[in-house]
Amino acid sequence: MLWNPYLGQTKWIRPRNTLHIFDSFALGYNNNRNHKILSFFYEDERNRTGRGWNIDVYDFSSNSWRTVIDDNTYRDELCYHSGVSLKGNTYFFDREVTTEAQVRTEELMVTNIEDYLLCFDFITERFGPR
Amino acid sequence: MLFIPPSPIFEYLTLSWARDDKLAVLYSHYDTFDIVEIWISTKIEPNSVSWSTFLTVDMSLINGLTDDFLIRFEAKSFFIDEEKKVAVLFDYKVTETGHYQMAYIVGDNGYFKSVNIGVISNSRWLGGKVVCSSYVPSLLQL
Repeated sequence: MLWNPYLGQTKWIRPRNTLHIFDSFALGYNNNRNHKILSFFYEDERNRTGRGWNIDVYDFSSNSWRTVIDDNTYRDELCYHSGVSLKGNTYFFDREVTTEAQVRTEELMVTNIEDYLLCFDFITERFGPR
Repeated sequence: MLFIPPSPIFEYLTLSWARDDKLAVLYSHYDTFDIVEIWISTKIEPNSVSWSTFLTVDMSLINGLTDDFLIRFEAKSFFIDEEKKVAVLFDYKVTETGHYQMAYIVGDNGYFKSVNIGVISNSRWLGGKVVCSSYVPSLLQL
């Protein structure tokens, strides 16, 4: 449910997927002040993109969902913390985890973790550079 | 890079905002976790953000820390007041009688105040997350 507390207005939006407790959302707008919702819908089974989340944008002007084009297959960290919406865009801390296969046990070992700030641009509907 | 942590290993790193469309970052060192650093943005674009130091708080200088602040604190949510030069950090406290929402106000020269906002649950085991969120009055029609 969308809510503008100042006007006391509410509006229901049909989600693209079944809702899950791990889902998270962010608000933004483009240069025409057309508002949009960025959604991370959790998938119990790893989905078609290879990660556990479907990332979509809901456009208030067309009342429809679009899939976000994103090459990064690891966005778990992004979905666990809420972002900060500013000047129409949303900023997040994301994390890059480098893993290395251990030869003997065939397990993956984390070799490096890098945290970085990331912007979701609501004009282009893409994640920005690190 | 929009933001580079002083060290890649840290105790916590949390993002928040300040008045007039500014970002704020709360950072605690891994080895000296009682040093809490807060930065504020000076310029924001989707591709570049610049920063200046807002507040560095040495929690070990604060006498009589209440509510096990340093032991239990996990910076999940906070906001800053640039004019008053304080930060308000949100967390919860667990006691025999339940979970409580807490706000911790930190500032210059060892200023520290803890406020019990209210009960989350009457269970010792069942808690909840305390987060603050910003809202600027908007005339957007839904």
